[in-house]
Amino acid sequence: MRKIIQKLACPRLNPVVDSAFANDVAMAAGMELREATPGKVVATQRKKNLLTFLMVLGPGLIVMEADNDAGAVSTYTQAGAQYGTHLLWVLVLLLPITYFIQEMVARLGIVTGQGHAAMIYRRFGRWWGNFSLIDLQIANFLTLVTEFAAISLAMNKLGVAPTIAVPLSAVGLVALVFTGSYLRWERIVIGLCLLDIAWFAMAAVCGPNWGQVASHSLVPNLPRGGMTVGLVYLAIALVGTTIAPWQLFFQQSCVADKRLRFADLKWARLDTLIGAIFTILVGGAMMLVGDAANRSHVHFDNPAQMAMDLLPHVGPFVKNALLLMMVNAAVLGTTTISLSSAWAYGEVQQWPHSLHKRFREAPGFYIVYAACVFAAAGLVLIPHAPLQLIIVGVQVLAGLMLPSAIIFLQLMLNDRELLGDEYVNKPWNNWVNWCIIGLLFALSLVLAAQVALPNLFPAT
Amino acid sequence: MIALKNDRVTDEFVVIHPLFDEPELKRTGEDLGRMQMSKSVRISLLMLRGYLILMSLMLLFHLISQASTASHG
Repeated sequence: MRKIIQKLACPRLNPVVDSAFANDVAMAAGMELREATPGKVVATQRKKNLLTFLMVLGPGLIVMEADNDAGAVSTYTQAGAQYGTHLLWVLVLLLPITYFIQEMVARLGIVTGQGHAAMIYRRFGRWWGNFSLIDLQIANFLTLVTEFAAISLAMNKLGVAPTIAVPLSAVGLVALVFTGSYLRWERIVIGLCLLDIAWFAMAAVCGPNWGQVASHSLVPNLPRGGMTVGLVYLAIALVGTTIAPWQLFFQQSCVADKRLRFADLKWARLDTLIGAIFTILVGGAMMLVGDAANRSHVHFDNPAQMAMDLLPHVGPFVKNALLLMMVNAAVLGTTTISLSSAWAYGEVQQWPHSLHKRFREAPGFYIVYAACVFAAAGLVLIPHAPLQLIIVGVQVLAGLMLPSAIIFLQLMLNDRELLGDEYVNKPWNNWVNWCIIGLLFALSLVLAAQVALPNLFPAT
Repeated sequence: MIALKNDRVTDEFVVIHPLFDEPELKRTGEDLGRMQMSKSVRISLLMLRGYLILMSLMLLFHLISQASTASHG
């Protein structure tokens, strides 16, 4: 009976049926008509919570896992190749740090419904807004170049010429976004994130000493040789790889574009936490793959070369999977970084800037995205392009930008006038965050001091 | 589409995706203008300016020393 009445009342199935007639039929059956909400009906609170969480899941997982981009693959595998498992504890320490920062970003995005760039402009004025935006765009563009450089390197080792691999991947990345559907983009990217589970398989095949892995993860230790200049640089690179400025802009814009509600905050926190744990575990797995090179006395040049040199030691699965996962990491990094640029620019210019909109409805937003992708891909294809200089430039800019981005975030999360008492930082939040800011400032200054005083740390 | 509800009390939970829900009133800060420059905000921004100037000078020093090394080399 219920189904008959529903069919009668459905305008799609029966456009000529008067809803009053449907109401009369329902009343006769002892039922009541009401307007349906565009939602799913479930029977229990537990199912409701699970379904709500699955609907909210996305921005946190994506921003965290996309941070395991080509640069991260290079840094983590290098750390493993040069120092074995000795730096795993650094990753474990970075887990709460990265979660705290991104939780604040998610909270700010949900409460304001605006992106990070827009809020900096609005609350701190044009000068700081322009500084943040220009810095972001430059750092993002240089990072995109490194992503395409990694695609070129990895696909070349797999037998695909860069002149084919790079343009094809650029076109694919643009097509991924030009669907006019936020949900479609999100689901594809979540799928790409979950592919990173392959790193766990690779780490297992490499056969690390699990007892050593556990102890080096939980107990801070230094490799033989102690604190050398190489170790300092790598530790700073690990921090800079795990917490990147673009993540602040990306997650806040993504949360705003997904229109997460105040009630979704607890699920967004869980999404971010799961993303943080997954990312750190994958980063650890990357380090273990590098550790296989360390144990096999394979010299580290870059991850693609390491994959080739590891072939006789760990077999073709690790070699092929590593190269493919490099490409996956670069694709993830490219789409999220390009979106963070496009969203930030659209927010500041007050253009329509949403993945829900088709190209005709938000041309500026999509053009910025495509321009970032194609320009970075084009630069990589130029013969003798100064890629090494670009890689160093990215690290320098990240060192400059990260402390400033975090300070703006901290100030906005203490803005009681904006957020109200309910969503502003609690005192313990502030204690933790100022410690993180202090640490980031200290690391940047150590890096700068090393530049000014090259003999500050011994070379070996 | 019209949905039905029985007179009998039933446990039902409706879950709506954020993208399809009614838009909420957010705290955009459009009516607030710039943040009030309290003492802590001023000190934070001053610290940030100092840090950026220091890092830029370090970078410039590094570039100059690299350039002079390259020209002598």
